[in-house]
Amino acid sequence: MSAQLPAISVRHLSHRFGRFDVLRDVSFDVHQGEIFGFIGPNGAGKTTTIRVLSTLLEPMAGRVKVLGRDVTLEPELVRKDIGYMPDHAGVYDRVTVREYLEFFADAYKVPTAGSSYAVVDASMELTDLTRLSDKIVSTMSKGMKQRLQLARVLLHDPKVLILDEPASDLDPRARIEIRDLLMELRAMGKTVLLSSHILTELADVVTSVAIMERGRIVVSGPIGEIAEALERQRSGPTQRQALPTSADSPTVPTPKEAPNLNSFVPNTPEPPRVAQRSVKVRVLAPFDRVSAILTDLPFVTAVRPGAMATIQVTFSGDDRAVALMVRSLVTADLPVVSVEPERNELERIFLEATRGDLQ
Amino acid sequence: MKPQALQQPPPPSQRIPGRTELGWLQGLLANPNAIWIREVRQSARLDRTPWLLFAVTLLLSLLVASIGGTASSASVSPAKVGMAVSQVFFSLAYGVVTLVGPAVAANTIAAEREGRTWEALVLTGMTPAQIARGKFLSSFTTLSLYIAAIAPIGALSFAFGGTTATETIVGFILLFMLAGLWVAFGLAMSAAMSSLRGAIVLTLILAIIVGPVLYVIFGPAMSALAHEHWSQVPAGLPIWLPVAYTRANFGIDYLVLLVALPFVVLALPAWFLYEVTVANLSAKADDRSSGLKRWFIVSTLAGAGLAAAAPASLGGRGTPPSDPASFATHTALWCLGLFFGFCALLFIGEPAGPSRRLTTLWSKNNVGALGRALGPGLARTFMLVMLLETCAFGAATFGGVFAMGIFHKGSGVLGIMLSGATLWAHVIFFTGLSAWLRARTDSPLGARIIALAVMLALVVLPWAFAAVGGIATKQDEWLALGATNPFYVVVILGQLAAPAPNHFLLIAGYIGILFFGAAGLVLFTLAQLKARAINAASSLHYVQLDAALAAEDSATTTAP
Ligand SMILES: Nc1ncnc2c1ncn2[C@@H]1O[C@H](COP(=O)(O)OP(=O)(O)OP(=O)(O)O)[C@@H](O)[C@H]1O
Ligand SMILES: [Mg+2]
Repeated sequence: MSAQLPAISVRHLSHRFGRFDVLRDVSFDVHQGEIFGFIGPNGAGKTTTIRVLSTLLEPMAGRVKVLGRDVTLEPELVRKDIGYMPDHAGVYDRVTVREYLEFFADAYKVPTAGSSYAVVDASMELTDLTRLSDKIVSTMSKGMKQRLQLARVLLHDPKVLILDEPASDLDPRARIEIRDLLMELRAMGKTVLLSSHILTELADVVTSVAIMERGRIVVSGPIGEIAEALERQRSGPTQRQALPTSADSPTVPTPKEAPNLNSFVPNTPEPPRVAQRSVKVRVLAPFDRVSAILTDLPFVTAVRPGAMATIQVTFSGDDRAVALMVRSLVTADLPVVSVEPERNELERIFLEATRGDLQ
Repeated sequence: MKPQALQQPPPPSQRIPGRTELGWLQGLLANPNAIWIREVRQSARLDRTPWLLFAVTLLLSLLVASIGGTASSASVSPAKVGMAVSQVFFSLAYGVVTLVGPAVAANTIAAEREGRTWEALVLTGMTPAQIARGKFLSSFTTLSLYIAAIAPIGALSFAFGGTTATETIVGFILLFMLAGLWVAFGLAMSAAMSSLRGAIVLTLILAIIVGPVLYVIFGPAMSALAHEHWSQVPAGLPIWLPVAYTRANFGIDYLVLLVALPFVVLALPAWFLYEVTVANLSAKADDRSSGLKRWFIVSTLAGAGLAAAAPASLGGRGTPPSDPASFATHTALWCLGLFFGFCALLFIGEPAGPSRRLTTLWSKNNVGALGRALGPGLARTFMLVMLLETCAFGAATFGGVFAMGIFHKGSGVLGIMLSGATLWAHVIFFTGLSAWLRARTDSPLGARIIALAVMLALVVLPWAFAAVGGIATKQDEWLALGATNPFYVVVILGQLAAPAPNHFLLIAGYIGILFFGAAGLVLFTLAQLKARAINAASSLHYVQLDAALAAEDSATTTAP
C-alpha cells in the first residue's frame, strides 16, 4: 500500500435518479500516475460516477475526493486540478480551433504573454491540431472534435484527467495516437481515468481497472492482481461470488468489512477443482497430427480447429499445463509457432466479472 | 510494476495566484470577459446579421417616412409632424428592443446547455456571476447594434423640428436602459430553462404580452398623470419622459418623480433579473439565496418607504372617501400585497437549510450571523419575509392613518386600518402556506402551483357561493364567506361607509383577519419544524458517514 494521496478516492458513493438506483455503494481508488480504466456495459453508471468526480453532479451519499479534496465541499479547487472531457461534448459555432482554445485559456485564466497563447500552441502541438488551427470547429469531424476536447482539457495543466469514452469516435490510427498520448501524459506525471466499453482500445495502456455493472463495482485494482486472483478463483465452486463485489455490503459498512472494499483481496481458500481454459496454438503441421498428440495429454479436454490456421485447445489447469503441451508438441518434432490465450487479459477479466446484461 | 515507480514530479503549475477581484468596470477593461469576446466574434461571423440589420432599418425608415409624409401633406405644422415622427420612431424602437432583446438573450445560456458546452464552461472556474455578465454584455452588444442601425432614422424628426437634440439623446439613453432590462429578462428566462426552443418561445410570448402592457402603463397612462402635475408636459404622449426632462419645472418633485422614481423602476427589476439569473446558474449546494434576499430587503424598504410617504405628500385634496391620500394608501397596500405574494412564490425555491458545502465555507471564512441569516434556509428566509411583510404593511397603514389624521381629523382611519390588517393577514397566510408546501415537497414548481391553486380557490369559490346564496335568499350575510380572501376589504369598506353597517359582516372580517393571520403563523411554524427535521437528518447522515469512514480508515491501517 502506498502512503501517497490517492488521485481519486471514491467511497460508498450512491446516487439515484428518481426511484432508480444508478450507483450503489461504489468504492474504488485511483492512485497517482495511473491510467485507470473504468469499464462497464451501457448504462452501468460510468458517466454518472464520472460526473460526480468532476463536481458536476452532487452525490446523494458517500464521499468522493480528488487529490484529497472533497468534490462536494470544495468544487472550485477540485475543478482546477481536473480536466474533464465529457462523452458527447458540443462545440461553439463559427469559431476556429485556435479561437476556441484561446477562449478556454481565458476562461481558465491561464496567464498569457500579451496576445500570444503559449499554452494553446503547446496543447495543439500535443494533440496534433496545429495544422487545423484555422479550421472552423463546427465543421470538423467527430474524431477531430474529440481531439479538440482533449486539447481543451490540457490547457490549464490539470493533474488528473477524467476522460469519458475518449476514443469512442476515433479511427484505428487516431486510437493508437490517443494511446501514445495517454502514455506521454502519464510520463508527465498526470493521472488518467478513462471510461470505455470498448475493451481493446484500453488493453495495452491501462494499469488498473474498475469494472462496473448495474451501478456496482464488480472488481477493481491493478490488472495483474485481478488476473492472478481470477486465475486462482476460476476453479472455485461458483465463480461470481468469489469475486469481491461490493454488492453484498450495506450502504455504510461496518468496520469489519472495510478492508475488502477498495483493493482486490481474494477471499476464498485455494480451490480443489481446476477450471477449464482455452489457448490458441499455431503449429506448422496438419491438424490431425497435432490433435492426436494433444488429446493424449490427460488435462486436455477438447481440440478443435480455430480461425486463421490456429488450433483451439481446451484444457483444465494453469500455465504449467500449457508448458507441458508445448513440450510434447516439440518432442514430437512439430514446429510450434505461437501459443496465445484465447482472449486478451482485459477482455477475459471483463467477461468473467460481468454477467453481460444491460440495465 | 507499481505505477508509483513511474511517478515524476508534475510540471510547474501555470496558474497564477488568485487575482484579486477588481471593480466590475475596471476588471472589464483590464481583462474583458472571455464569453463576451467569443460571442461578439461569433455573431460577427454570422452571415445573416447585416441582412437582419438592413431589413429592420429599411422597414423602420419606410414606416417613419410614410407617417411623416402623410402627416405633412395633411397641412399640419412641421413642428407637430416632427413630434409625431419622433414619437412613432421611439415607439417602434421600443418594439424592436422588446422583441429582439429577449430573443437574443434567451438564446445564450439555454444554447450552452442544449449544445452541451455548458459543462466545459462551468469547469473552467468562471463564476455564475461572470458568466451572467459575459452573456449580458454579448447580448447587449448585439442589441446595441440594432439600435445603432436604426438611430439615423431617429434623426429624421429634426428635419421637421418639434423636438430638441436633448430630448432625442435622452430618448436614446432611455432606449439603451430598456434594452438592458429586456436583455436581462431574456437571460433570466434562459438561465431558468434547459431547452433552447422552450426558452425562446416562452420569453417571446411573455415579451409580447408584457411589452405592450408596460408601454401603455408607463407611456400614455403615466403621461396623463405627469400632465396633471406639470401642465407643460403634453398628455397622452407615449414617449413623454424625455419631453418631461426638458420641459418640467425643476424642483424637489422633479428630482423625486423624474430622477429617483425612474431609477428605482429600472434598477430594482434589473437587479432582480440579475440575481435570478445568477441563482439559476449556481449549483444547488451553492448560495442561491443571499443575492435575492438582499434585493428583497432593499425593494421592501423602498416600497414601504414610498407607501408610507405617498399619502401624506399627495393628500389634502377632496373629502375623505375621494381624497388622494386614501386612494394612495389603498393602492400602496394592494401593491405591497401583490409584491409579497410574488416574493412568497419566489422564495419557495429555498432549500430546507444551507448545504454542507456552504456551512463549511462559512466557518472557513468566519461568516458572521448576519451573513448566515441571508444564506439559504427555509425557516430563516420565510421568517425574514414575514417580518418585512409586517413592517411594510405597518408602515403603509401608518402612513395612511397619519395622512388622514392631518387632513381629515382621523375620518376613514378605521377603514385604512382594517384594510391593512386584512391584507396583512392574507399575505401572512399565503407566505406561511408557501413555506409549509415547500417543506412538504421536493419540487418548488409543484409547491408554487399548489399555493396558487389554493389562493385561487379561496378567492373564487366563496364569492361564487356568496353570489348564489345571496341571490337565492336575498340576504347580505352570505357575503361573509368572502372573508376567506383579501378582496373582503371591499365589503368592509362598503359596510363602514354605509349609514347602518352590518355588524355580522364586520365581525366576519375581524374573524378572517385573526384566523388567516394565525393560520399563516401556524403553517410557518410547521414548516420550520419540518425543515429542522430535514436538516437534522442530513447532518446525522454526514456524522454517520464520517464515523463509518473513519472506522474503515483505522481498520485499514491496523490491518496487515
Ligand atoms: N439525468 C438522468 N436522469 C435519469 N436517469 C439517468 C440520468 N442520467 C443517467 N441516467 C440513467 O442512469 C443509468 C446510468 O447511466 P450512465 O450514463 O452513468 O451509464 P454509462 O455507464 O455511462 O453508460 P454508457 O456506456 O452508455 O455511456 C442509465 O440507466 C441512465 O438511463
Ligand atoms: Mg457513459
